[in-house]
Amino acid sequence: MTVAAASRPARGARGQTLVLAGLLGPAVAFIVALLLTALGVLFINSVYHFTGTQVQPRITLEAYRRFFTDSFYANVVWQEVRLAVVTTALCLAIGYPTAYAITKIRTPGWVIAAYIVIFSPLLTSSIVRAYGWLVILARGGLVNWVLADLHLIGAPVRLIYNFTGVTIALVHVLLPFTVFPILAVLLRMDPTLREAASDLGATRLHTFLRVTWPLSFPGLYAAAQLTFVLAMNAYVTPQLLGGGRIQVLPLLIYGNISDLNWPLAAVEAIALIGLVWAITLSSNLLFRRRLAATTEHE
Amino acid sequence: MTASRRDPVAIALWAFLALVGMYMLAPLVFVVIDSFNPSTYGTFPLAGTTLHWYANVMQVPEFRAGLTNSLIVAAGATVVGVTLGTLAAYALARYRFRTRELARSFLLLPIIVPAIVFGAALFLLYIRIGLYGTLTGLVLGHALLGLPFVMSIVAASLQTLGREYEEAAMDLGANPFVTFFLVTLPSIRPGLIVGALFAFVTSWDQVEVSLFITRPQNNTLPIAMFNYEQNYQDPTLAAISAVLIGFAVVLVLVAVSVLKSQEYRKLIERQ
Amino acid sequence: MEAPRTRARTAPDTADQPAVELRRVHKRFGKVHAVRDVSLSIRENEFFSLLGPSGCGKTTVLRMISGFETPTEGELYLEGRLANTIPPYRRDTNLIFQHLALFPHLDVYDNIAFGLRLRRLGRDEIRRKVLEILDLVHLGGYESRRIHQLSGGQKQRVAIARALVNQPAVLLLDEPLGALDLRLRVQMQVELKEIQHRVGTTFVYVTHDQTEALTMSDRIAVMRDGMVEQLGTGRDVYERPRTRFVAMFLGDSNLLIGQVEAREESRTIVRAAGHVLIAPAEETATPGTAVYLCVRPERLRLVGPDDAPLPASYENRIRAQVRDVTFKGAFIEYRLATPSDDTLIAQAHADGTRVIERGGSVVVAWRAPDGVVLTE
Repeated sequence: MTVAAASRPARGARGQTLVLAGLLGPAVAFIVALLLTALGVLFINSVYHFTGTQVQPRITLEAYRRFFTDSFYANVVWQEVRLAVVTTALCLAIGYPTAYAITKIRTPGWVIAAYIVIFSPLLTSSIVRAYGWLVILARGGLVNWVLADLHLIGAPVRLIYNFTGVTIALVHVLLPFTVFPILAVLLRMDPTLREAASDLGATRLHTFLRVTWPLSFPGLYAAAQLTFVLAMNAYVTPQLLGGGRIQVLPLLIYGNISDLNWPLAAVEAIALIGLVWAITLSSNLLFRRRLAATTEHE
Repeated sequence: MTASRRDPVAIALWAFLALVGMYMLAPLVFVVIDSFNPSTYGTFPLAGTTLHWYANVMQVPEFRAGLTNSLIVAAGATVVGVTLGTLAAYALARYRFRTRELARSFLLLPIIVPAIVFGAALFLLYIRIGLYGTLTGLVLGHALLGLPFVMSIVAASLQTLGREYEEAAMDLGANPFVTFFLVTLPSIRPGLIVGALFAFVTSWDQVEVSLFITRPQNNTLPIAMFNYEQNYQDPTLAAISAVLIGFAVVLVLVAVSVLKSQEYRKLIERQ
Repeated sequence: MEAPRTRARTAPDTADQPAVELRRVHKRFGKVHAVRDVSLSIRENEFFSLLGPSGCGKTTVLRMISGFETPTEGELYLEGRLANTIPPYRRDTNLIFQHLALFPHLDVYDNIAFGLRLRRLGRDEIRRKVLEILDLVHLGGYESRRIHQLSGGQKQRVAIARALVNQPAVLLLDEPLGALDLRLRVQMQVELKEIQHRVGTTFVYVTHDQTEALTMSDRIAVMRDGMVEQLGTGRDVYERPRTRFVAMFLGDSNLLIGQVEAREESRTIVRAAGHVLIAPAEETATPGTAVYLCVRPERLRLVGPDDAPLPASYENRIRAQVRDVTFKGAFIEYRLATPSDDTLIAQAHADGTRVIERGGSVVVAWRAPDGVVLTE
């Protein structure tokens, strides 16, 4: 049989609806009650009034006005986008060859080892990983010690509490998320395509440029999007390794909530979601044709 | 890699992979090394080793409380997440209905919304309904975050498994409930375990949401560590991190043994 | 197992009912019309096969009988009772799945006992029945084995045992022997037939393998594109196919395109392959109709120039030239070309007699009753 049918045996349509409600209901209700309600409260707060010490349920657009007129926020957004773009670019540059290399490993034992090395850091908290980078990159830390020992530097290099440190640590956190989609696409690729190219006279480089690379584009794109979004939403790494010098929206959100300026925090949250959406949607439109072309061949 | 050992491309790829591997493991390795560092500022090189910081870990009351809270919350979040997620996954994998893709996307919302935004929103909600600073609030928040993972993993398991076992059970006289508990659940055990692991780890390592909804006296371990880091930078933090890394290593071993177990392999082979 | 069985569970007034009956059943999956207007009646204790190529709807019919699909239109009766909406766990049928679906987390005993336990039989009774059925399928002593330890043939038997131990009124089999190698398959065919005789249950068997269907069945329904093309015993369907599809699906056949010249009471005169040929009477063969004349390869006799002449009953004779000779073990296959450019395939027993060589000139002959006139 070519058509897979839902084998719900001999039960009325109404019976099925009841069953579905029972199965999906709890999860859906949970999300509505917690997530949607909480977001609703957040959005409502964005139009409330902050007196300086407390929030009053008086409708006003002052938080929005402040956010869109004060150049401080524009700078924060700019720095955040810069951070996310640089991080994404580095992740792709490192992640693609990594994924490619993994697909070339022949021994299953080494494949498993590669997966463990790349993905197991995800099992630890972002705090542990951030702290690890502090240890390595600090003034008295490992890198400076090695560089000084090799007489490559005269004075300790500042590698933390700046853009560099945050980037190094953030790339580390996000690299597994970059590798995964690319790896998935590469593994699914029909190996006979490469063999055909080879048979037709293409060198390995030629095969890579003309066959592997174009066909892996959807994976690369998905990886880029995922990495970018995660970088934009990151809190722990910029906070611990930024030393206050790196200001991004997530940090502002936390700060404003702590300072009781909930309306402003809400506006920043909405701005964050809106910004990420806008960039994601526009890049989807931009690459729409290229994506459609390659997925047709699957 | 490719046949000839002396193939320069293969060598380059291996070397690159090794470098990436070192990059990925570096912070974890050096945290562990640093946990034995006698210097209070964690400077390199190490002038000897000490277990002083490990002893210190247990002295910090926030860490002890944090550990207990994290365990309770993670366990609770796992139970809630696995239950809701498995039921939802069953609906998505076994039934066909018009709003199915919409439902699937809806259930992925918790990972689409930025955690920091969710945390802030949850704080504002919890303040109103009195769940701020409670373990229950944490359990619910973490369960929500783990739900999409459980749902995806279990749904994939169910899809790979196929309906045949369930049909066989029904053919032999089992109604849908009996079938679910006697046949379906045992058959997707590996998927359930992996889903549970994801839900557990998501809660265990969760920071952005916990930051907003924990009370200073009632923190989870990551928050306790986060707070500690703001005030002190001594290797106590490295010691507790090393313990957590050890915990993660154990998890990896469990996962690998689950995937390698003969039972699982036979289950995923079609008979 | 007691045999032959008396269906103690059916009420007296259903005793003469067919075991399974389909009346004008349709099944649609969205736009796909998988089963079209199928009506058939399966008798008690019959070994009934649904035969056809992939996608012909035979599995869908089986799944409707077992309860995993509901007919879109039409009625399904089990033992005289309307069964369209009865769920599978309440039907007195058991299905042996194509991939067997043996529960991997249970051992052989628990697999077989599964259905019995659901009916809350006593532990001793369950034990007795399980051991009994294991003996029936020649797997005595295998109760504690785990499924992954079994060979393909053994798994087959466990699947059969698991289904039969519940003493269903109808046993449904969905191409169960597909995964076995040829030798094992043939052996299992024999065993299945034996079991069916001993136990006396109605068997409904789905397969795409015509040899299998012919070997085991009392009656066969040949299906194509969701419809039943022909229903009859193996001999009926093989020797008297009613359509070209049936003729070609079961065994090889020679199909000569021709035209009806005359229709007589006991025979039909057909002009084909440049000759006037005689075939059995066929109602639909009105003079002038375009038809196919179908003759099985094994019914063709080849006469070489040195051979003894054939008896007069071999009324149809065509000159032909041998184009190809293939040795197929038990028989020899000849490919012949006629002056009219038709190709004929003939089969002769490899009984040690002289093999006609390529290029040889022969007369191909067959008896009038051995042909079939096909108007579809």
